Amino acid sequence: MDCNKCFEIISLYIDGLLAEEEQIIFENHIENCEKCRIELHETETLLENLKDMSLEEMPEHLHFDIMKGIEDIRVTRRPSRFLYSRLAAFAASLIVVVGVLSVMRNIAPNSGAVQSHDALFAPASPMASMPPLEAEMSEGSFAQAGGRIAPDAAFAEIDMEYGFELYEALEIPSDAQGYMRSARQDDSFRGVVFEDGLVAIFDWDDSGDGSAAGFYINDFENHVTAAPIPWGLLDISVECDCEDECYFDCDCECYEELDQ
Amino acid sequence: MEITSQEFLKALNGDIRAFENIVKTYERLVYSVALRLLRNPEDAKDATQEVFIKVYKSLDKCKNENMLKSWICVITNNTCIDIIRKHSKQSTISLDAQIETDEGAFIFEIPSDEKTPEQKLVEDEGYEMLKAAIDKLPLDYRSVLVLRDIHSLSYSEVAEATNLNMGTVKSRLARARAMLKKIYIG
Repeated sequence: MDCNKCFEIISLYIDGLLAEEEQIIFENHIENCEKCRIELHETETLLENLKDMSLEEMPEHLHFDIMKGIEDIRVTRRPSRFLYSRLAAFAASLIVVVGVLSVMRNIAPNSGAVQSHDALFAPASPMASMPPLEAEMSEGSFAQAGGRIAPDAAFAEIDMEYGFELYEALEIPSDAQGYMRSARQDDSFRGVVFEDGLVAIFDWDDSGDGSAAGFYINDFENHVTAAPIPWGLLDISVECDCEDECYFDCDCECYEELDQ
Repeated sequence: MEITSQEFLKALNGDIRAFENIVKTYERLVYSVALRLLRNPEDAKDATQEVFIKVYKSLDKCKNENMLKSWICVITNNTCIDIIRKHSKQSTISLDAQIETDEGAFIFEIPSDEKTPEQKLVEDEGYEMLKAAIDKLPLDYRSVLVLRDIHSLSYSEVAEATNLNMGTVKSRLARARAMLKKIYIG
């Protein structure tokens, strides 16, 4: 074997890809050729250095940005068959329309909806006496990191994944299909899902900051007091002076002022 | 951390938390590969996001969890190549011609090649020098070397990721290593 041939197959030798016979010839040559021995040693050292190169540090927020991008396409995609089956009890209704018995108390103080506010919101809903449930979301979940609730027909699917859990009905109306709540630590945002697909969402602690979600619920027993509107039309953002729409846990100053 | 079969199936069935585990497992790998191929942190960030959107959209095309790493590397490699192609198609401007704007004409200036003391300090470190040497390799060589020698993909995985046959991977890798050694060691 000459040195040129040796140089050519050093790479394959290092990776153990030479045939046995070729490997023996290569090793014999290396033993007797200092130049090729140095070449082999340098190449091996180089590859060790390459393997020692650690992974790059991720830029701050990149993980969040990735998940935000995923979420954005999730809300525009049709739920999978699997999810349909899992959510069969109320999936059909999620596709079409979700009625919301709500008015945005903080968000739309000047809107026409305010006129019906008092009429719509009974002060003591059946949910008001409900004991807080312990948070069950795992730490570091996307929702707890401030993921927004997607205003989408596949609401229950998404929010269950991102921060809502369905519970067996406790003191909620007998015709309610399930119960969901925010994964936020203050647990301030809850709602029920009715069999017909209507979703009632309310501000649990009555602090008004649930208005970040934008809704107050009045009448669970009748649960239809407002014209059902497609979920996709719901705006869960708060009105804010900054250019971006604000959602839960927005860091902007104007949202903080609103949240006071 | 590797993705288990159960997690893979969950992600395949739309479980976003299971998918987030996939992201957590491979995001640094994807970003690292993208950074070496694109040589620009901003582009690498964009590429990383794009890769995981593609992964999410077409996870059902991945045969099983054992193929996940190389499959994600395929997408990463192709995404980076697309970005490089797009950049190369973008219009260029003459660096020494005057550019007319509303505020008058100016000459486009590029920074001096002279390194600042801080830059020299960083580049004196072997690791930075090695990264700089890798960046000098042509893309075709860089991609096989990054996947095989930095991120330890097998030859067949590299072949799949780069859409090359095994023979071409072997020869390109041998040349890439020789070229890198020449740049790095001399």
